[in-house]
Formats: sequence, C-alpha cells, structure tokens
Amino acid sequence: MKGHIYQKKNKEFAQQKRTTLPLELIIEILSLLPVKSLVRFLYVSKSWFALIINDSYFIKLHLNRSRERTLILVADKPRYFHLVNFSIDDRFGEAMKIKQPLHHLKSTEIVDSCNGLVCIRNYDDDVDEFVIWNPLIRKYKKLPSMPREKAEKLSSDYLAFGYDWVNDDYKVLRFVNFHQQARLECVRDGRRVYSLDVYSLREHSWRIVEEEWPIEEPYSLSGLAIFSNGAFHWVATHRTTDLKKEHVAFDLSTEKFRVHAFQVNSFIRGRVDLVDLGGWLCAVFLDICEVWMMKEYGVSSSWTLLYWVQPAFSNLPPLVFSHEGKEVLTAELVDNKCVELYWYDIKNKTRRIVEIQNMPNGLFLPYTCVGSTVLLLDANSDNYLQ
Amino acid sequence: MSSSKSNKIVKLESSDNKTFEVEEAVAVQSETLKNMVDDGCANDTIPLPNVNGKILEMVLGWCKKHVDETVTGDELNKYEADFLDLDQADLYGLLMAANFLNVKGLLDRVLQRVADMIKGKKPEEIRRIFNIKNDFTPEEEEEIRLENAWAFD
Repeated sequence: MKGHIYQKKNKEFAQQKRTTLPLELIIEILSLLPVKSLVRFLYVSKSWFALIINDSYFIKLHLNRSRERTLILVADKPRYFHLVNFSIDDRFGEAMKIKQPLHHLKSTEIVDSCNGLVCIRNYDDDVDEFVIWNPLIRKYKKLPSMPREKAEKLSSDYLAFGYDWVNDDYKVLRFVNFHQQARLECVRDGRRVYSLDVYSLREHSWRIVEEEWPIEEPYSLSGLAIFSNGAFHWVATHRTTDLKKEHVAFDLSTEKFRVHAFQVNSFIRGRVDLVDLGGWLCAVFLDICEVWMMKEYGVSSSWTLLYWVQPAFSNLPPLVFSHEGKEVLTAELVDNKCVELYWYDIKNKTRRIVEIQNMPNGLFLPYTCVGSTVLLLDANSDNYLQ
Repeated sequence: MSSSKSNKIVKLESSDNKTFEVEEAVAVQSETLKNMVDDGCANDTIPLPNVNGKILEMVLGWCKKHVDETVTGDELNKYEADFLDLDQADLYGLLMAANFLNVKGLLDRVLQRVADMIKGKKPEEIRRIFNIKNDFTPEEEEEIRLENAWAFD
C-alpha cells in the first residue's frame, strides 16, 4: 500500500517537473534552425506545422536570422545546375548536380534571387517560361508563359525579380525592347516599341505595367536589373549627351519609376554592375575594381567607396557578405578557363580561396540565395534527378 | 570601481529554499532583478519560485563572470563555451531561468545551444523533449513525410 502511494507521488512529481516551454521560446529556437530541420519538424504537431508553413511573422524572423546560403552555379549545359549549401559562418558543403525544375529551352538564365526564392527564365524564339523556385526546400511554382514578339528580330530583354513588402507579394518584371542593346529607344514613329509586363505571385498572372519607361532619348542599360530595398534598379547610360549615367528604379509596390542622378565617381566610363550586398545597393566597377555602396538608400549623395581590390581581381560581381560583414564572397575568372571562389577581407585586403568538392569543370556563373522556408505552402515539389 | 556604485547586497531564494547573496552589480545583469531593484522591491529576500538552487547558482556564476573586469575576452569565450556543456535537463532549466530572469547574453547563447542540439533529431524525439502531444493521425504524418522525403534522408 505504502509503495503504491510513493509510486503515485513520484509520477505526479515527474509530470509536474516537465513543464512546457512558453511559445515565445519555442519560436525563438525554431527560428535558429536550418531549413532542413524545420521541414522535418513539420509533423511534430499541428501548431508547429501552422507556424513553420504559414505564419508570416515566423517565416520572416527565420529568414532574417538565416545564415544558410545556397550557391547556384549555372554552367554551359544549363539542363543542370550545381548547388552548394554553405553558411556565412564559412562552412561549405559539396557541390550537388541537380536538374533544373523546368525543361530547358534554347537559353536559360537566373533572373535574381530574393528571400530564398530564385527566378529562372528559360526561353527560345517563341516563348518565355519562368519558374519561381526555392532550391533549399525543393518547391517551385511555374508562371504562365509569355509569348515572344516575332515582330523584331533583335530585342533586348531586361528581367527582374523581387519582393513587394507592402503587399507581401513576389513580382517579376519583364521589359522587352525591340532594339539593339547599345542604343535603346522607346518610341519609333510615334509607336511604343517595347513591352513592359509584371507578374504577381499573389495574382498568379501577368499584366501590363501602366507606367511608361522613363527615359526617352537613346540609352543603354547595365546588364542586369537587381532587386534591392523594395525596387528594381538599372544604370542607364545616355547615348546622345555626354554619356551621362542615371539610376533608374522601379518601385515594386507603387509600380512606378524613379530616375536619380548617378553620382558615383563621374570619371567612370566603363561598365557598372549593380548588386545587393547585405541589403545595401552597391555599384561595382569591374574595370577599376571598385565597389561603392549607397549608404542611405534613395539619397544620391550617399554613395561611398566600400572597398577596392588590387588590380584585375574578377570579372564577376561580389556575391555575399560573411556573417560579420568583414569579408565578401567573390568569384574570379581564371585564364578564361575556370572560376575560382574566395572570401575577400575588406580591411586587410587579403583573400582566402574556398575549396568545394565536386565543382563543375569549366566556366559557370555563380548566384547566391538565402535559406528560407518561403513557398513551402502551395507549390509543386521538385523531383531531383541526378 | 566608481564610488557612486552602491555596494548593496541582493538576497535571492530559490524554489528549493536555498539563499544566495550577490552584489547589486551582479544581480542587475538580470533585467527582471534590475527592475525590482529600481522599483525599490529588492530590500528583502526576493523569492524565485520557478528557479531551483542548482540553476540559480549557475546563472549567478554567469553574471559574476560578466561583471568581473579582470576576465579577458578569451577567458570569457572559453567560460561561455564550457558553461553550456550541460545535459538536456539542466539546459532546459537554464533556458527557463534565463528567460524569466531576462539575462540577455545568456538567453541568446542558451537558445542557440538548444537549437544546435535539436537540429538533427527526429520529430518523435522533439515531442519528448518539449513535451508536445502529437495531434496528427498516422496518415497525415505519412503524407507530410512523403511530400518532403528529401528532408528525412
């Protein structure tokens, strides 16, 4: 009898001892986990499932803390990509060869990556196909195809992909100009000679952008539009005046254009690429190896020299800051035969080569994307084929 | 040390009736205790019914180390790393205590340690650790598993 009472008391004590952690602590812990763990823990309970898959506060908290990155290497046979999972704490996994989520057409390019999502474009002479893909959780969403104008043989395409934080929406911008790259014009014989469309993930459809392209006289655009601070950005160089450069921004939430003076080192004539580093809009002058940062977004006079590198370091823009921001991951074209990756120490001006197993042979273009659980809901699963 | 700093002693009592006396400067590493001190509630012994003696001693040790000006940066790093080398039960208790007492640096470190410890575990183990009831049917579980098979390799 006595033994039985003691047993019961011990059991009660043991049950009392095991208190459940408050939800706020569970959220904090989960937000520090790698994406793979979060996906595994989806079926722990219904409330965990709802939190991980559908709670936008949690998804953003996790995204902001995420030190996971994926390096996507697009080689010359773009039926496949090579993915390398790494951490900005400096741990690199090995490269995995995976099939891209869409059927390959004549050409493939990665438009941009944002919040862990990558926008891929496959196109040939007749059609433009797009997919939005989260490579870390292996989910994708195919966009409705866009037919390509057969009217002009030569066209210049400028694509952009990014996040509209006001409407919690992801958008793709497609600007097709029916002219040659070096001398774009927007009106010919009174007719608009370009198409400007935007896709919204929420609406899952394309529509025409009402705003007109803001530059009238002939100009050329920096190659890639990049997404930074809620807008798409290009550098436009005028072709009639003194090669004046301007900064064109397309605000994703208002869907309106802004044009700013581009007050970065006015002696520069060569190519300038824009890149988003750690949330800051940066301008990369590859010819003179300088990287400038717009310290205060939207303030033209706030462009500041972030760093410069000893001669001829790379033909490719920098990729991502290290965890503490002291180093920048950079890719260099070596002898036009292969690509080398290294961390560049900004203050000490030194470099550390990054060794990755199973890298593809030959040339490739590198892109990075952050590890997040965005798009876990309501998207198709990927079947990776090696 | 500046002469304007009070050498007041703060008295604390754990859930299992152990008493601890620490300098105010140590105690106020905890935001919770700091608020009590600022509000003038720290004159008598402060009861802490949700922190046991073993854990409280650990937390106070952490606080003491962090106000000790003779400790170097390297020594502190090593101390923090060794400090978190605990078994699951102690880590759990430490987490609850650091949260309740709101010792900022400690809470962040413990959260990261717990995250590192659980990231490789199976969902069944997670339920046991956090005392969570499984409200999925076996069929629902299987569906989630199949859809995300890559995460379970």
